[in-house]
Amino acid sequence: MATPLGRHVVGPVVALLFRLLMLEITLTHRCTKHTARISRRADPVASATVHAWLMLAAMTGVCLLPSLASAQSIFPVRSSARAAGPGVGTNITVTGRVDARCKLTLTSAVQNIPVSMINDEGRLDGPAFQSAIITALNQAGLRGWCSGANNQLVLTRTPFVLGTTGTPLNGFARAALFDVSVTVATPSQAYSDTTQDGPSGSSPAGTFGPTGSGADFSFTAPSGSGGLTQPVAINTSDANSTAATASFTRLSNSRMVAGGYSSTVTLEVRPGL
Amino acid sequence: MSKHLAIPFALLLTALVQPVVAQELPPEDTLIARQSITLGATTPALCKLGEGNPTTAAITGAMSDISGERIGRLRTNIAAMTIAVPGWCNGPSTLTVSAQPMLGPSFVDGPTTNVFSRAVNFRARALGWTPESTAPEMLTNATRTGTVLLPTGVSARLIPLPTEEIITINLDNFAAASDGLLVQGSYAGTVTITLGAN
Repeated sequence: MATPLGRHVVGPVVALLFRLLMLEITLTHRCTKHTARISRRADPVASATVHAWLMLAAMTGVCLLPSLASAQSIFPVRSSARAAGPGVGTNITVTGRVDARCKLTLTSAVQNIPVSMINDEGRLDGPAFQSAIITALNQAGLRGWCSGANNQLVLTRTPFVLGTTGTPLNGFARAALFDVSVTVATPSQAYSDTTQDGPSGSSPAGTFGPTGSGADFSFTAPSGSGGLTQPVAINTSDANSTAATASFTRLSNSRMVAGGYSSTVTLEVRPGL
Repeated sequence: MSKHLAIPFALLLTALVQPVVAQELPPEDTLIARQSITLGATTPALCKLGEGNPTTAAITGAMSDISGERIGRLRTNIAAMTIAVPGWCNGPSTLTVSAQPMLGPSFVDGPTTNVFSRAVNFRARALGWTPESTAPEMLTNATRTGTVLLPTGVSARLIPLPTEEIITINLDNFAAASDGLLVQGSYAGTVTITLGAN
């Protein structure tokens, strides 16, 4: 025994289904002749697609089947000897979209710098250490590609820090800041970013790395103008800071505490069309 | 005809039952390609001592009294001497001080010469890196004939933190072995401080 609510719901649903069935039958009949001609000539995949169009026709009330000629231009025909005959219908423009994508790969994500950070006076050996940093980064084998026309490179680094904090210990520095630049080259242009501006990122970069695993990224020392040309001792309590160079407090003439230091250099490529 | 009808109808029912959902793009963050390189570097443990100032310490004037009750014996008013040595260690370290007594010319010891001494002992302390009460120190221990015995004093101290400081070597408590009459001649001893990285 149906409840009042059931009667109110079931009735309209059945009516809707019946109406749609009638619509389906009508439109299918309208398009059947044309459909059959396409189905005979096209591949099974094409035939299934035609059925999908038919469903669309039932839903929209319009026969959207393309003419046989246009269908042949989309779906391969089984035999070229069967020429297309005259047809009726509407052309459909099929469009697609390739979203912007980027990918980066590394051959080695951990690089140990084989030279000492300091000179005989216990202070950072700036030129030698900077050179060793660049060499180590380039040995990581960073490659990548981007398919978009407006990508962005974002290169950041954390300072070299002893342990989890970089605050001075009894007057000795426990953190060192450095800057590097990265460049990826295309046949016509090179795109680059530097760490000195923190996570601000580069100007828009176009496509790069069209084949294989992409293009090589190359690290170099910054040219100056705000960037550090060699590492400096700093006072920082944040080992994970990727801030711009100007925001760090430098320690003049400080010696470095003995021990193992680590830093992380991160490159992001943000795809954009 | 019936075959063509059956498949679209089934598709139609499916389309009616299931809500139409637009294909969603991945969240923007998942589109970002990211790679990180971890760099490791080492600052080796290092200590360094600079040049002492002054480089030598000399007792001014004669070491022995030239008159009075203690004539011929070591003066009792020899002032302490200091030498400043800059130094630093960038990690835990050990500061050690060692000393050799001041020795004069040899002599033949015998019943008639046993009142003489050719050794002047003293205390050497390395001040400045630790509290004075724990400063490393050594007291030389030589006999009047110049035989060097084991010294006394805690001569090595551990400094746990990196340190950069002036080490002040303090020499005092001069005393002739057995308080003997000092043999005539020049006397010389040595003091050595060592900074070792732990």
